Amino acid sequence: MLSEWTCGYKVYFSSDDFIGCYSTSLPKKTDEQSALNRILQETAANVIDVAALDSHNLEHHEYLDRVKHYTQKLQSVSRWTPPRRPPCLLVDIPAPEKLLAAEPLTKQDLQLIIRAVDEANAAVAEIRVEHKEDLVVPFRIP
Amino acid sequence: MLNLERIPDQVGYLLLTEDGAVISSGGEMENDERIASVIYGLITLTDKVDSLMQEDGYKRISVVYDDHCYVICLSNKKIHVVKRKFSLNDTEPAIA
Repeated sequence: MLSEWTCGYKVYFSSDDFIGCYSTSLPKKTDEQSALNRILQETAANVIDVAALDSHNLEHHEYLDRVKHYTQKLQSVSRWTPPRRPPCLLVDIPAPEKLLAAEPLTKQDLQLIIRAVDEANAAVAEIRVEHKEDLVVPFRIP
Repeated sequence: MLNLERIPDQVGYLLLTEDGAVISSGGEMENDERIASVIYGLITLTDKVDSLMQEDGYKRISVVYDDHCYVICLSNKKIHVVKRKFSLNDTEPAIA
């Protein structure tokens, strides 16, 4: 058997006799075993065994603790109300492509709007204060 | 999903969530958060303009300038905004 061992350095050996002959320069069997165990432990520490996660059995008091915790959470949720939506001028419509692609308004509508705005502007510009009587009036003190 | 890039004369588009966050954008309005907030402010200013004239909300709002316009629709809980080239002609708009 020829095996490769990678924990810091490589060692090749073909048989136990071979190890016996050079036992001073090659790792002993116990060293090999302990290194193997170490590799196994490290691997096990790095692996999350999903199948084994369910095996944890809950104690009775743990159930009660969780019931209490979840009940408290649910009570705080029931008091929660979703934030009020701001008002929206638009209503939700299906398939908006047609409306988005259509002409935004007719020539007549645009002219109507322009005329109305012009007239309103002209009207605002002509607002005057009409002087009728004196601002300061002498009181007739008897 | 609706492809806003295929709208004729489109020069830019914005897709916003109902709370005004930009989902996607393109053309002249690519990443234009400023226009997005202006348009969101416009449509959330009020929920009705004249309750006698209008029972529900509007299906479309157009903001028209001399050479371009913004067309705004709400669909599938998303605000669609398309900026288009605009030249006045005699074609009738779609009846909303």
